[in-house]
Amino acid sequence: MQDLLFAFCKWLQSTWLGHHVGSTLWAYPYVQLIHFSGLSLWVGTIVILDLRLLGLTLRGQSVTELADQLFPWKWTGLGIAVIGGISLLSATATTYFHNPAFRVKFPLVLTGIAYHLFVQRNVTKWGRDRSLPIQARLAGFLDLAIWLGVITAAVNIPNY
Amino acid sequence: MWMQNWLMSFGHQLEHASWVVAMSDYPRLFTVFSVIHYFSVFLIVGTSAVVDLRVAGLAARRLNVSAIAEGLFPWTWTGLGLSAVTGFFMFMPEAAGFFTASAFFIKLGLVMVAVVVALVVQKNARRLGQAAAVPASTKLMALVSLALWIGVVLAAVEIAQQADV
Repeated sequence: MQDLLFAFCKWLQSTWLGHHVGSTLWAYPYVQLIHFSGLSLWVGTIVILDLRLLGLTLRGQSVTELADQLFPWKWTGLGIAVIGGISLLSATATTYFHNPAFRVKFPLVLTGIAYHLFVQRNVTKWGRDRSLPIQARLAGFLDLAIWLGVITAAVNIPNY
Repeated sequence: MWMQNWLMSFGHQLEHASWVVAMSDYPRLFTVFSVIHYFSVFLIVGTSAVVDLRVAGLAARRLNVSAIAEGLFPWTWTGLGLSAVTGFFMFMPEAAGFFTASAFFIKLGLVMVAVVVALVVQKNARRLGQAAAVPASTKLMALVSLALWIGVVLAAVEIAQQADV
């Protein structure tokens, strides 16, 4: 598995994308811009939903409808963030592969996406009652915590 | 030239303020500030984007415009407060470095314009209520707001290219 992932990193770095992002100085900030813009949309919409699950905002709106209405923009945000993220990774993939903070961040991102899919699936069920069940509040809190964890891991990448 | 010299010496003064020097004993603090800064920026841009896209008629069309604007308003401004405070603490230890980057000043300027435009969009959105048709000028203002926040992020990532901070 490790060998396979490392081979993938090596391949990614050798692609046209890896060469360009890595060797042209002007390109890097624009790729960062794509990553951060996508993240703003993804994390922003997720936080809105989590705060609603915790009962801290938009209490007049049903959770189900809010989740439903934010759905397309939320996943568009993730799509943009992933495209930007892979491009950033392509410049230094083989170095990142050994970076301990990146090794925490990557699985945490996958966990976060999987967990959010679980939240998305259950929101319809939770939203039926006027007052949200305790599981819904807990889910909102956990969702928020995972993404704060992702940011913490990301911020630590340059420290290694 | 004198302006640059003055800025540099002012920057060095800020860097050597006693509490800034004391803070450097706790490198973990810097990580905490960074995490809060990034998170609160995502909160500002994310909540603003939802309001902007809703006003422009591109997102969440079944949700009431003024309810969305009113509900997200406190969170956008909480994000702004948190990012300003943590941003200040991130700036202080490297003040002179930040002063060498034109992108830093562009960023500060764009933030101020973006905040004013966001306030206008919020005010417009609250007034719209159940009105079916959103005036074209109001929609345009919302898209300008979104573009400004993206400009802020671009200026922010350019700082790292220009200055050794």
